[in-house]
Amino acid sequence: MGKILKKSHSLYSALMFSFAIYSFFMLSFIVFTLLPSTSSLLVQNAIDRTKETVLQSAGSVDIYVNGLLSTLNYTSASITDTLGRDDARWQNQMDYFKESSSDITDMAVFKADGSLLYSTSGEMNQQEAEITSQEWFQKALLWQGSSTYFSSPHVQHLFGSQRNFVITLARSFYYDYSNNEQQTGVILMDVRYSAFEKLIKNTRLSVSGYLYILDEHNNIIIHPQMQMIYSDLYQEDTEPVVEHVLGITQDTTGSRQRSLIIVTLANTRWRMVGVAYYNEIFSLQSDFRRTMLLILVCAALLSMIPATLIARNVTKPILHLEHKMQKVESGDLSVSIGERSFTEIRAVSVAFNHMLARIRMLMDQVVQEQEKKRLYELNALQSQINPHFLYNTLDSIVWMEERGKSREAITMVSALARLFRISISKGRTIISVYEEIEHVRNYLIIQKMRFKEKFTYEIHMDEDTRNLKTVKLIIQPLVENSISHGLDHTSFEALHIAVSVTIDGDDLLFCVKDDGVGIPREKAEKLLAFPAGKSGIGLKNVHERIRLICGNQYGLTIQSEEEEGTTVYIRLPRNLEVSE
Amino acid sequence: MKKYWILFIAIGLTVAAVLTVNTAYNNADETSPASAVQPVLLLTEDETGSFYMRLKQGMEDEADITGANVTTSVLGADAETQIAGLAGENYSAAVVYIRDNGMLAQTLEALRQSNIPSITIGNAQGDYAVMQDTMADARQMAACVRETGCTRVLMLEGDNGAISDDFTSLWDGELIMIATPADGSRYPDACLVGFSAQGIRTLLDAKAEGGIPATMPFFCCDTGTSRAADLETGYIMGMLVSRPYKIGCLAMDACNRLTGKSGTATVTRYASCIITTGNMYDADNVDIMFPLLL
Repeated sequence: MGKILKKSHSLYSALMFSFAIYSFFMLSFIVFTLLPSTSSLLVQNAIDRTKETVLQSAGSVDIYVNGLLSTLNYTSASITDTLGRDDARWQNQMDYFKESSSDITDMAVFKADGSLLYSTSGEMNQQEAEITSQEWFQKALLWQGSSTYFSSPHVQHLFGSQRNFVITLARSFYYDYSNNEQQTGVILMDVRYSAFEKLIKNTRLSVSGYLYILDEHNNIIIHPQMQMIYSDLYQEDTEPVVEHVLGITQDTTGSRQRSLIIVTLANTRWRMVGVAYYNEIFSLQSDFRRTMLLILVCAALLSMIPATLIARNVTKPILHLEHKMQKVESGDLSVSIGERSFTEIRAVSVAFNHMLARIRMLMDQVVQEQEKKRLYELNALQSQINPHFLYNTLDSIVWMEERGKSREAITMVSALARLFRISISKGRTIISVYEEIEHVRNYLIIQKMRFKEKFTYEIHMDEDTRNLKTVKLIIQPLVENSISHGLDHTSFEALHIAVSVTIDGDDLLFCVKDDGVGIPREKAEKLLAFPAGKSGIGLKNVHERIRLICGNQYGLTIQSEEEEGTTVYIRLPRNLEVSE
Repeated sequence: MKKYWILFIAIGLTVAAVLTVNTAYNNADETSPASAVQPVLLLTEDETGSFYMRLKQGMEDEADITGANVTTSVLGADAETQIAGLAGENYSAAVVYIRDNGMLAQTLEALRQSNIPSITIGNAQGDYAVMQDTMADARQMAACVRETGCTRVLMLEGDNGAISDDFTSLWDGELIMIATPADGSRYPDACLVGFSAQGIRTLLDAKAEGGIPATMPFFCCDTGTSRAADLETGYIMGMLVSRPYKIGCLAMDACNRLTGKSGTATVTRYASCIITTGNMYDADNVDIMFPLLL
């Protein structure tokens, strides 16, 4: 099992295999544990049921016979009490009993000499001598009323022309007919054979088992195959029954072993025998075994359905998880796993989602930290004063003082001071548009004093933009680039720099335009895309700072034509809100 | 998902197949006797007689044991047409109980044309016959005669019943042929035997009229519907009577032999019973003497 599972390549097949094996072994265990005891119980139950059927049938016969005996006893008692005094009474009773029961064909009362006292069926057609010679008459007298004689089935032809196939009941009674001595009589009751026959004829034990009744001489008097027995076409072996009056014995007829259940019937001296065939009783067992084995096979096959469904339900979220992990592996951290599954799978999914969220958060944190770091670097770089600019400005101030141009020197020093003050801005990154414009204006004042007529400039600021916020020190580097690269030293025409700030929809738009030498198109396109050379540091620095602070949709746009000039647009959000 | 449905359907079909096979197996267990034997036809010209009714009962009871079933048909003048109509019913055999010789011949011919094997009762004209064992019956009658102590038997001349030849051949005592019943009065110690219906009736009438002593033992063959009355008068001491129920059982058994092709015999013979005034009311003879009481 372990080896098989180790060799299995999928959890699905392992689950399927395990569940199927488990189901099969569980079912086999149940079947083979319960089968022997259950099948034994079945057999025992069948035997008990057979015995019960025999006892019930015997009980039915006893009840029926008791009813007949009650009638007979009541009649004989009535005759004893009223014979000779009120004959009509007992005769009416006999007529009533005969009429009220279709099973009773005749009732008659005889004297001990065989003469007829009364018959419900009219005159007798036999001589008295013949009556006294009949067994029922002799036995009834012999037993002196202690018990009732039951004859074998026979055709009764005592009265008139009628003939009936009956069992005769007879008993003697005493009466005081002449008022001086007790005399004996015999009462006869003929009961249709069919009345007894129907009590047991259709009773079946197991499938083809049956009941039959033996009289006291071991003659079969009622049997389902009675006519075949009379025709010598069927023989019932009564030998094993002869010595028994109650209980179970067995015999074998042909190749069939039989169970013989014997019950002695009360009052009649008859015995009822139930015949049940063992092969039919045990066929229940074999049928049960076969059915159970079939159920086992079917259940094992059907267990494949839940096995498949369970394996599928268990492996589906795992496969889903694997799929999502592959996505994560390929770099997509935006995935999320549904959490509607088994508890364990849900726990894994939750943990996985938490892990992904944590990774995303950490990565965002790293990115933010990197951006901040970069921003700090850029800000720090931006805040640095170009030493050449500072040296040249200070040198110009010294030169002006030496030349006695104190006022101009004061102007330049003042501009430089304002320039530094705005550059510092108490460490803020965001300043007002006005301050930014003032910053570039002071820068241009200083440069104008240095370069005199080599360039001109103009600054236009919409009044609406005055108090809007902007990233600090983004115009000055552009203007510095215009001065540094736009001046054509071979030209006699002055460079013109125009700085403007306007509102463009939801954006704040700065524009620094010069009519200098311009930049080749290819170079202009690469200035912001790649780490540029020394000349591109300022522009890229500004561009990155804006995108880091405002987002990637903002930043610089450069338009330049050689010999025509360069225009740089800076787009910022109109309502810039950045926490310092 | 499709492959799961295919798996489930395959499992369902397998389970259904297993259960179907099991059900068929169980049904086969229960119905195998019935399905083993095809229906049998019982043909007669008169279904009102007690002999026929007991014969039919015997066939049906035997058929119940073997799992077969019996269909009866009463033939009229157009027996051939009737049988031609029955030919399509796939009967395995036909038991023919017809006493009219013309109709019997017509029926047997029609059965042959319809390829239905025939079993005749009391004659050997069919493919198979269930017939009286006349020798056994004659032997029974002779034994009964001997029991009376008679060594001399009187027999009417011309009383040529079916078993008279057998009786004559095996009777080892004196056999006297008498021309008239009155001749019998000369042999008061003898027993009378009668075989043909005419002969029996003649002797009975003679007894009733005093032509023969009423106490002279008389053994004969079946007197038919008056057999009980004939025995009750005491004029007949013993009567050979065949048991129609048994004949029915044997006829059904013959059908099984014929359709099962078991054995090569084509005749089953049965012995009759001797009914006397002493046993005529016994339960085992009710079937013969008073079949309507059953």
